[in-house]
Amino acid sequence: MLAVQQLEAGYGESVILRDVSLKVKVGQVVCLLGRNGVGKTTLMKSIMGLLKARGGSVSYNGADLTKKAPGLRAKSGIGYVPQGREIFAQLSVYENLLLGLEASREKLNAVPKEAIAKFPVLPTMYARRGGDLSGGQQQQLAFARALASRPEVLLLDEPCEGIQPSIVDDIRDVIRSIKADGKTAILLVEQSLDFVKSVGDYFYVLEKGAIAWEGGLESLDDEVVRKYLTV
Amino acid sequence: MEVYLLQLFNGLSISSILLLVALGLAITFGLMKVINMAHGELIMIGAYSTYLTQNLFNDYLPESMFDWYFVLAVPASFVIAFIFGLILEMSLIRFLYGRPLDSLLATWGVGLVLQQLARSIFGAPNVAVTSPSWLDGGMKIMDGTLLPYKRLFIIALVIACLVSMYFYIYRSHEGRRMRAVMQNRDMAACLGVSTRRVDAMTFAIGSGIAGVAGCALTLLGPIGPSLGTYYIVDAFMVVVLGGVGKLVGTVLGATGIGMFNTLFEYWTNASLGKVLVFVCIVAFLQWKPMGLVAMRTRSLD
Repeated sequence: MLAVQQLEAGYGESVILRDVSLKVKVGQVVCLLGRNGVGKTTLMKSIMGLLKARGGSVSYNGADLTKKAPGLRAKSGIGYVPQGREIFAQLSVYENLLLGLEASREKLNAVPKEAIAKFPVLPTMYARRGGDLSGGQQQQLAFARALASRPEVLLLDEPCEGIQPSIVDDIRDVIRSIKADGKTAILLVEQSLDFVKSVGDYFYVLEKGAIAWEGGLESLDDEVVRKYLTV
Repeated sequence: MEVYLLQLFNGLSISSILLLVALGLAITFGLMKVINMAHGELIMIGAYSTYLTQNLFNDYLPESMFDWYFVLAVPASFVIAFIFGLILEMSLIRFLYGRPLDSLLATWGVGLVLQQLARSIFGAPNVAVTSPSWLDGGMKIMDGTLLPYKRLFIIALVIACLVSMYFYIYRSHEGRRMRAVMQNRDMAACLGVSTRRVDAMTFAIGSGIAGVAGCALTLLGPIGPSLGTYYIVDAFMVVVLGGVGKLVGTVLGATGIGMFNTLFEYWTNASLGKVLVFVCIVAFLQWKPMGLVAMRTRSLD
């Protein structure tokens, strides 16, 4: 279980997150909602360790990760699909996938089949450079790269941003199948309410850097949406 | 006919020396973006390592073995410069990533310290390194045209360095990590790549190759504490002209400068030839500021 407690983080002088606490359990898809600029991506970066926490803690299965470098967090089983995909543009698609193995705890030598099986378009493009792929293809590559190390927690930061509907459906299916396997916990940041409602189990709403609302699918009603999410 | 052939060979020879001197810089400056003014001193360290190897063979081994010292001197220069590079990275450079001006000044200072260190240990005058006898003489391809073995050896050494660098950077696991870190440090870290280790290794390898260049320079003449300063400008020129970050660019840059240098010197004289080469480089960089081979990719945002 991934647990964030009273987390505080920010850039330079400005504090972005204050007192954020949340939990993600295995087999659960937890969604993080909120308007633009409330700190969703900042929270993801702090969980991954790209941003140092000013206070509070991030722990995974009881082990405190707050002071650990991103690489060690990856090796303890956290996979990250960042906003904007962050593909290595000059490396081939296959090399991008192989880099996903760096955090593998089983010391895998080849990309596991199940990571690629979900994205059948990738093997046809192994030799191409990552930077030459389209946005949707890059998103699938970023997803497969994160799955290659068989993570126990997946952090997905806006995986459907700027992507054609059919690939959005593919990604929804992938998230559902991971959830059905019941071995992975997923923390999902996504703008599309329909999308999160179709995959999510539990929801947190961020506002001004703090959790303003949390609850299950049944309680995420129109009033909550109007109060916290409508612009 | 012979004259042109000889000039062509001269051009090739100068290109190979420039390339060898610039290869290490292509890694530390080209890939890592560290303006390493101490690169010349790492070359100097490689040259003195060769000198030391020669002295050790002279003092402790029978004379019949002496010719083989150079076979050991190449790896020895690499290893010693590698260690110096590693220490330099871990004690200084790591604090200066992303601060080009600071690293320029700091590495320049390190260069001065290393020069003085060499002066204190080996003395200010140049020292001579005796080339092994199997590199004396040359290959006669026709009357009046002799290709010296030393020059041919340097060309072969450059090719060997290039091939091993290619395999390391583009074909090995370490190289893949290295390219990933240089392209997107944060994402590589998030995937579990140890960026500290990769930085240290990359800088040390660039330094080691500078050491090999120093070893080769002992074949061309006596060496001294300020050996590196003669080559540092050329090395930066080659990397900048070739296009930062691409090995192919460095090869083309060195070939271009070497060939034009020989051509202009043949037409005019040594100093005017050099001036013309620099004028050409400046003009070229006005036209293509990214150098010969620029990184291209589909931009997505």
